[in-house]
Amino acid sequence: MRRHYAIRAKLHLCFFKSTIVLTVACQVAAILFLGVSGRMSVSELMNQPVTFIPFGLLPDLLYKGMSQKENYYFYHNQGIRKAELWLVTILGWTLLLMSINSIYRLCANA
Amino acid sequence: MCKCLEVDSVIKSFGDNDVLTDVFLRCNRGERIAIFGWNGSGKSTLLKIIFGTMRAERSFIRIDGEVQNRPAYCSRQIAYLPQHDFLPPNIRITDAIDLYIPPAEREAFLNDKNLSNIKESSAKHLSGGELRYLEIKLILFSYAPYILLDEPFNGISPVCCESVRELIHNASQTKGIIMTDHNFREVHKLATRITLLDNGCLKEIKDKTDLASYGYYK
Repeated sequence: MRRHYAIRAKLHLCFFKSTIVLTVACQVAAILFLGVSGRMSVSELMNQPVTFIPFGLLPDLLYKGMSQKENYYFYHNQGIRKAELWLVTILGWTLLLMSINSIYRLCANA
Repeated sequence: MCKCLEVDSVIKSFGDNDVLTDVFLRCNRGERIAIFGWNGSGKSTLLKIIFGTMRAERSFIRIDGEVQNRPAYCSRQIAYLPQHDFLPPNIRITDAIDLYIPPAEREAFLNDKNLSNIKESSAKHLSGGELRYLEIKLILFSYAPYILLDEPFNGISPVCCESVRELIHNASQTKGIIMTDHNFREVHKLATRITLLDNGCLKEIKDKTDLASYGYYK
C-alpha cells in the first residue's frame, strides 16, 4: 500500500514537471505584458503571484488536452484520474508561487 | 464469484450513428480474446468504454464480481494500451519502468534484447517501434489482471511481432487479455476466442470460414 502511494506521488510529480516549461513561458509572457503595458507595477506583480496560475497553467492543460491527450493514459493505467492530476498540479503551482512570493517579501524587507 | 471481466449492455452512439448496441463480453483470466471489425465498427470505442475513459449511454462493467461505479481504471484492475503512444515524451525509460513494474519483476522485464539499448533514453528519443514495444511490455507486466490492447502490432516490425506474441502469450497465463488489431493474422495466431464487431453487435466467431464471410482471409 505504501508503495502504491509512493508511485501515485511520483506520477503527480511527473505530471507537474511536464507543465513547467509551457506554464513558466506563459506566466513570464503575461508578467511582461502587464508590466510593459503599465497595468501593474513590479511590486504588484510579485505580491499577487497566484493570479498568474491561469495565465500559465491553463494554456498548458489545454495544449495537453488537445495534442497530448494519449499521455493521460500513462496516469490512468495507475488509477489516477485527469481531475486529480489537475487539482494536484494547481495546488502545486499555488504552493510554489506562494513560496516564491514569501522569499521575495523576505528579500524586499531585508 | 466469477474471476472475470464482464461487460454488459453497452450502448453507444455518435449522433444518429449507433456504434454499439447492447454489447456483451466476458473475459476470464487466462483468455486472449480478439475483437475483429472494420474501420469505424467501434472496437476502440468499446475498449475505451470498458477502461472508463469514454462514457456510454449505458454500460455495465464488473471486475471479479465487483460492479464498477467509477471508471474501471480507478480500481487498477485493468490496464489499457491505446492506439497511439502514451508515454510522456520527456520521461526516462528507467523512471517509467520504476513506476509501472513491481521491483520483483524488474529483472525479468529488463532481461530483453529489445530493451537493452534503450534503458537510459527518454521516450522522445526512441523510434516508433521501440516505443511501442516498450509500452506493450509495460502494460503486460503491470499489476492489472485484465489488459486491453488496442492495435498492439501497430508499428512493430515483423521480427518484433514474434516477441510481442510471446509477451502476450506469457502474460495471459495469469491475466485476461482483450485485443484488437487490423493485423488480424497476428491476432488470430494468439487468440483463444474470436469475436467480431459488426453493426454494433459483438458476434462469437467459431471458425475461420465464418470470418471469410465478413471479408477476412479472402
